[in-house]
Amino acid sequence: MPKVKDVILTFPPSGSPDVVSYKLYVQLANDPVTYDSESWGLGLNTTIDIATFPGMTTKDDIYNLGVTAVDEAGNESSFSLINDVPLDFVAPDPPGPLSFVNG
Amino acid sequence: MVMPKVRLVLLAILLQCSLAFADPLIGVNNYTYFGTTAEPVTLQWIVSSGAVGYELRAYHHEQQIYIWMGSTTELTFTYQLPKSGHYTFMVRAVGTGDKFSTWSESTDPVVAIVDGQPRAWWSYGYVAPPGPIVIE
Repeated sequence: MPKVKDVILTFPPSGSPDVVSYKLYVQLANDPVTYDSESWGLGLNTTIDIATFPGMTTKDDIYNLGVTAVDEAGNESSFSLINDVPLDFVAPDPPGPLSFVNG
Repeated sequence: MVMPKVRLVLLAILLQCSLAFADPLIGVNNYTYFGTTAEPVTLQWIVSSGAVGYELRAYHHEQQIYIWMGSTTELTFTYQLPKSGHYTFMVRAVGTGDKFSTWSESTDPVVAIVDGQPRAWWSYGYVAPPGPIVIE
């Protein structure tokens, strides 16, 4: 199994008192992040290694990222955004068959 | 003796409070203060004769519950909204001997003021977004 580089994403928490989780949204950089973009729940974690998220290992492009806070009623905040982030979680193919050349 | 109502004024709501819209729930002329629940709101009212203090509560419209805000001997009160949603604010005067005025409500244009003019108002608190993202 290939090994991909850690990408640590961190953000200060929301100041709202009833936040129960955060959500990360990822969108190809050609388009803005919306609430319909691909998303992952973060729980209450504000420092995460996004390389470990399901589905991330296919991403190799420039992306816009957004994080929202979710309250106990399910309401979501506006986005905290960072645009044009290069993400490359696609490991190179392994080298070809290894053979012994000379003794 | 019934104590007179006190006039409610929104002194400062540390939010984006420049927008207003009409809401059919509580009348077409209500002014809405918008902001996030991360910033406190400050209410102000005019002194009630005979009052030795004041009590404040809020009504959360989505959950249809009253929320006790606190009491004060001052004429202002700063409060952080506990959850997102629409809020009506109320204040009543406390007299001696456990006498209370009726509640003065921010949605009652007889006692509520916006920009110095009688007008009903309420506020909406959004969930505040997280801070800036940093990629390491």
